[in-house]
Amino acid sequence: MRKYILLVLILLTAVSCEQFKDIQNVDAIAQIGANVSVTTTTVAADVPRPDSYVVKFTNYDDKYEVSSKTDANGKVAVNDIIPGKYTVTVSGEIAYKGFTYYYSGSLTNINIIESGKSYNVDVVASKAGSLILKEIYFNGASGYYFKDQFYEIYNNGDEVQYVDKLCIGNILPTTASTTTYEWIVPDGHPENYIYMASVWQVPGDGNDYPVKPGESIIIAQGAQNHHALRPASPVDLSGAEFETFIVNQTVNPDNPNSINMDLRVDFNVFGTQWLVTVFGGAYAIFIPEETIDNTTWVTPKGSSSKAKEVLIETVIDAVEIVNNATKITQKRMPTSLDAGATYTGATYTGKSVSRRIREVKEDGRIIYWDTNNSTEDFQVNPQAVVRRDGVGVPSWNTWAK
Amino acid sequence: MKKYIIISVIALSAIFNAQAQGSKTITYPTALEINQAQALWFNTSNAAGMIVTPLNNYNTLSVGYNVKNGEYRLQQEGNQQALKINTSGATNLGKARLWGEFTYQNITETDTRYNTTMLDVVPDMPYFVGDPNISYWKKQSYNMSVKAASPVLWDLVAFGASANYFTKNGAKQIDPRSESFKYGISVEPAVVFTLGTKHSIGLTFLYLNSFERTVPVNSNNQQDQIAYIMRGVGNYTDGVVGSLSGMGTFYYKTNKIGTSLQYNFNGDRSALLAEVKSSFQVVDVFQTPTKPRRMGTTAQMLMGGNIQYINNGDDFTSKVTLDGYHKNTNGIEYIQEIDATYEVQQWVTIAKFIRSRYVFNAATLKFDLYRNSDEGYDWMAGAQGIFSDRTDEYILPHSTFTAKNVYGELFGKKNIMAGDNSVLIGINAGYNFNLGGGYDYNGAEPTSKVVKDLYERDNAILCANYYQVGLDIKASFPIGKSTALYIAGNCQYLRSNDTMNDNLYACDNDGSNFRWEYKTADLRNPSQRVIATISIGFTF
Repeated sequence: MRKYILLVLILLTAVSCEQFKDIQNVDAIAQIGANVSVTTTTVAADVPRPDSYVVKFTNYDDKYEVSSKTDANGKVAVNDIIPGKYTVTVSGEIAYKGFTYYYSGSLTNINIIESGKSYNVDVVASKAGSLILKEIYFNGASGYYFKDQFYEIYNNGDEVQYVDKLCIGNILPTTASTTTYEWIVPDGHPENYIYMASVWQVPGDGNDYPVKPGESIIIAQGAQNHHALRPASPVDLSGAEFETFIVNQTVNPDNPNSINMDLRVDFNVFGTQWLVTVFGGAYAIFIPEETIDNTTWVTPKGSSSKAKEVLIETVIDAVEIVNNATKITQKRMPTSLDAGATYTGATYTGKSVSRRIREVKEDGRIIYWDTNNSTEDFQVNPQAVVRRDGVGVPSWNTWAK
Repeated sequence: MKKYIIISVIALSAIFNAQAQGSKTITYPTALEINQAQALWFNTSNAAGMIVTPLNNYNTLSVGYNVKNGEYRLQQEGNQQALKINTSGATNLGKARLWGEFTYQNITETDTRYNTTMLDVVPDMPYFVGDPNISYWKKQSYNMSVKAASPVLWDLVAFGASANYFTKNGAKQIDPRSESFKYGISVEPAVVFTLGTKHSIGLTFLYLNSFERTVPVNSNNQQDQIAYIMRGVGNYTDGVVGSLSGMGTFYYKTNKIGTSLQYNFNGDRSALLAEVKSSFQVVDVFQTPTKPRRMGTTAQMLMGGNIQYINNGDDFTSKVTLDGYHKNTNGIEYIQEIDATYEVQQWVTIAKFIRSRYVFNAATLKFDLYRNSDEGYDWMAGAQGIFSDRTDEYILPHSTFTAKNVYGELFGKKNIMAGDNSVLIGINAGYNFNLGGGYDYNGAEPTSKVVKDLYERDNAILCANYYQVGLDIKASFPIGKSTALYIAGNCQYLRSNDTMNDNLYACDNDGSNFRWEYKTADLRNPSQRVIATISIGFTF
């Protein structure tokens, strides 16, 4: 008995010693400095550069932000940083020959804990004109109702865009968590891809579905008047241009007006509808260079989860939605596509996320924020609205009310 | 475990009672009080010293009901009703001395807020989960302490030890709710060297180990609940209880070591005992045992001391006690990231910093005067002054929470004998004078509920002037040769006339912009608190 007591005492002492040792030589926190250098290595030489860039350091854990402007050489020194995990976003713009060029780049979840370190952010330029994910309603309505999910894609630019062959899908892991994957891809460069759990594609031959500047299309999980079916649902999707209708099932009706999307990757499509988690998925839209072959896939190390790899360079827009603020540091989407994340904070509330208005043109057309940082670009709405802000309906949609 | 505790307590009571059979006199409440005042070593950390100034043999068993009600309280405290069963006793075991105590409490707390997970909220533990919903808690606690002292060996040295074991469990009863469990054990070996007949010195070493585990959950799993993962002085991270994304199990691992040194002078009629002590405690807070993530650590250094001086006259006994301590707690936060390697998949600490400090200084000076009698004392009177100074600091962004107070109190008791029956009546009156304090928050959420509704309100409470009056009655009725039945009641009334309750909290329709608003006169309530206890028990 005595030896057991002695053993317990020795073990307890050892445990406590380890605990005491852990907190030795811990310094009080103090502000530190960091240097940022902005480069444009992938931007063509003939594209004009902004005079300066805005560099923003965001610490989501501390809800702390520091912002500063670079000099003409793209360099800035910031001195009032609280050591921590930061997302550094760089943005800039320049108007040139009737176009506005938007520059953006970021570093996500970097640990800034020592003073005087330098960080390089390589920015990319885009002309306003890309299709963007404008509003996403993933949250569901009271009563565990989730058949009213929808995605709104908006023409934020100055030229007509054709959504023929446009794909939309969500990536793995389906929910933001501490579970992460080590993907194994044939070319040995997993960093060049995102990994789709599901992909739906707009049909068309290339010029069937034009979307003019200021217009949007709605992709509904089910193109029904959900508000009539379930009063808790905030939306009527019977006028949606497209729906992700699952064929060979009779539980959910097919809206004959709404154009059915083609299911190209069904690794995470189960049952009778395309349900993406109500906690918030990470979504991307892209136009593939080739026909999607769903007979091949990749898997992560130690897992049987299947996904279709999609080259990052083909992605038009991407949005990361996480469960709540505590999950931002567990985001899944590569920072080159979305440096931040947005969230509604709770499920089945009828809330949605949508882009904030950047400017309203003289003709009334709205330009939304698109800095590839959904933390900055998106707002949380108390209720989802189809074509918020009164944006236009494509002329070929004759069934929308 | 509960079964073993109860068996141990019954066995302990039986031993004490059997040992006490030799002394067949009634132990009146006054005798117990003055005996504890005279047993200077008993009031230190050193159990071995009980052999130098022993407690008389006694045993008590009581059942009590305690009520705390009123607005003059901290937000997390709530109102309270508690059933308490207590037994304690002192005896000799051969030439050794033994003392023990067991307490069981069944507690209901109502109108609590901003504490989702912790069984006991303490100001120097900033890492816990809070929520704004008005809630109530059900708690149970078992607490057992023993002290033992050997005889003085070789006219030079006595050995002893004290030990304490406690368990506490409880559950918050409104979403977001939690089920919490806590246990702890401490042991403190002690030694006393007697240097002649008048001088002795003592030394102790303390080790404490404690563990608390709490699981936040929702009863209504259709409605996630917002929660605040607190980090100190009003800083917090947003959190959610419920659903797949909800918070995981929180657990607290505590280790503490300490030491104390005593010196005692025993004169013919007077005695002096001085003690200095220090301890060092580390509490590590984690979330999710299967993939532990550090939520913070507190490292606490405590330095303290006390001096007791007693003069035992024929007619009067007087005692002066000076007690003080300095407590400094560092709040350490971690920068972590997930190691995504398939074989690892765990949180890794990248850096750690002291983000907050909690400094508490306190000093108490107390004087007691007893008019001696055969039953203990005929009457007693006294005064005490308590100084407290609390400074909480969040280093970056810099925020402070301070409160400095001095409390003065006069008290007295009169023992009225009616035959063998005794009625002890006591009164006390005190006033708290605030010397300063305030709350200066410079973090990211200046209009949040945590800042406005929790910290600003608590600071107003802690920085208020208030008065306190109390009445204490204890009636003892001998029911046997050495047994007495007693019935006791105590009521304390606190009231603050400061303007803290002239304001209420309001927000915009969407729940934002939380702020103070001035109350109209018809909505104001006095800021007061009533603490009342009734109990019935036996001394034997």
